[in-house]
Amino acid sequence: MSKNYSFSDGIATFIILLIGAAEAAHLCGIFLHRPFSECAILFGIFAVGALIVLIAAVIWCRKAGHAVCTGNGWSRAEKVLLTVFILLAVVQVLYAVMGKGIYRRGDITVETVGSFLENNTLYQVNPMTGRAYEGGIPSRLKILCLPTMYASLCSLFHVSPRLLIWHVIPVVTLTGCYAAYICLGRSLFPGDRYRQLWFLVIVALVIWAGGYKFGMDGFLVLFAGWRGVTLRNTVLIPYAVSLCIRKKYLHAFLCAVAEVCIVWTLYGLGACLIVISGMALARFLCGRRKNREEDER
Amino acid sequence: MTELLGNAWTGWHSFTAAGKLAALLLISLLFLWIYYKKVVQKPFLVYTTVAVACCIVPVTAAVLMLYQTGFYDYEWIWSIVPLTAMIGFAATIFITDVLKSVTEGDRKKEAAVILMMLATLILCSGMGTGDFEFAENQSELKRAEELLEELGERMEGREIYLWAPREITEYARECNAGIRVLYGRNMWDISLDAYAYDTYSREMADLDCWMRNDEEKETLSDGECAEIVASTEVNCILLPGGKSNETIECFEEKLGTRAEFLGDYYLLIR
Repeated sequence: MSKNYSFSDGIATFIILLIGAAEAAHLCGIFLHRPFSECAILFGIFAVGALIVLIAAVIWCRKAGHAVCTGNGWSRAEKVLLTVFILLAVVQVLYAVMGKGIYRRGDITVETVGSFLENNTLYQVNPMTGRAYEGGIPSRLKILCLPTMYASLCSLFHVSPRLLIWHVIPVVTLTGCYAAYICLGRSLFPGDRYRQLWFLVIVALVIWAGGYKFGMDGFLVLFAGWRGVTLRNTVLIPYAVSLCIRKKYLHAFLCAVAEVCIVWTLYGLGACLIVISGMALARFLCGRRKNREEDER
Repeated sequence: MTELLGNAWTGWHSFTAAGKLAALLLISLLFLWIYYKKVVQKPFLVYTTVAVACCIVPVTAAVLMLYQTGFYDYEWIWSIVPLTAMIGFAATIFITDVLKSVTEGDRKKEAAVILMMLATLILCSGMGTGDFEFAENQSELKRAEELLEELGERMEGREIYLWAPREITEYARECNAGIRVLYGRNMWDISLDAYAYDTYSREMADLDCWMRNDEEKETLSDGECAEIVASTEVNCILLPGGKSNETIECFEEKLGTRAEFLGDYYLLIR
């Protein structure tokens, strides 16, 4: 494959662009006091725009030789590993679609989306009671765009909030999660497909194993796939790490910006920024040490 | 700061109490540092090691919790640790590099070690001991959905402003965003209070206690309770079937309506 970007990069980047499109539409609604229906249309336009930009970028990458090549034929061991990985991932997707485990504690996404659709306004009624706000909501929370994105998708595709949020979005998150881990596998073991496949199989197993506690990657992606923290921990952070390893810091910075749009970090700057800064610093220190060792030799 | 330090200390204990993936991460790091020369991506290893140390040591953990302004629980500082990726990275190097050289290509030995690793992972997963109550949630949701649907039919298109027991209120707004409720589920799930500056009056909390027959906290008589409800715009009241006839008669009198049955509940429509 290519030296730099792959189809998995396209999926992860598309999720980031979708978040950007939703944030733009959401901020229009909040600051220009536009009705929700207009925000939904705006989101649709921005999302199509993002898709076009992405397709154009893919075509440009292929022409410029930045796209990953398909590589040689597959060995038997690689075929077996790929099959195991696909099986594990498909079972997880089916589990997410069935929605047997939905963790609702501390979450009002369905109510919030329902309020937007019912009242055709953004954050005018308290989602928990359906009555007008008395004290209002924190500004930092008000700018988060995921409810607007989900409500827009419900409105554009005529599906109920519960179906979209509990059954469809977790599948998208899982897809984004594995796209990010595929990118990370490629970054950690460049050009070694056998190891990349082992890495993916183990990641899929660790995700199953991590379903025991709220906050673990496995739990988030299997039982709370629609939440902002899930997108951050399972898509944005692994993808940011993979980009840092490939020294694509500008692209990685997009992950930090996306996090600010979807996670209530209060007045902190978010986890992605720490990861990106930490990885950059670690690379710098390792590079200095390597140079010193070479000098000594 | 002392409180934050305390939270950081107890947080690590609760983080490692249920499953043991954190232990697996530490083993992975130890393995990679031993086989440091085989690790190509050293910055990834260095970063993860420092991040893990910062999350475990109470002082740095408290600083990280301050960074997230103390609002989130301890476990969220672990977001900066690529736990899944690091375990995958270490296990891949072990299987594809170290294991191959140790077993000298003996497939049976390799398979046995891989199976042992899989068993270890399963043991570290908590073996389904988490406290989730998913199944209960599903059946409660279904019951509430059916009841609210029937309620909508009885209200014949009128707007619903509901006061009901927790097991109905919990799901009312999810099932139908057109329903307004006297108080939402943030009455009992306090983590939801962060989503709004709105607060409930003492009266609302008392109404909830009365509805649950909470004898320790209950301060309202049936009459007082009915009066408070009558003074609101609530037009649809569901009372548990276990309430006495005297209570129902009191509500009928104060609200000027007759109770009827809806599933296991008394329904009063104004």
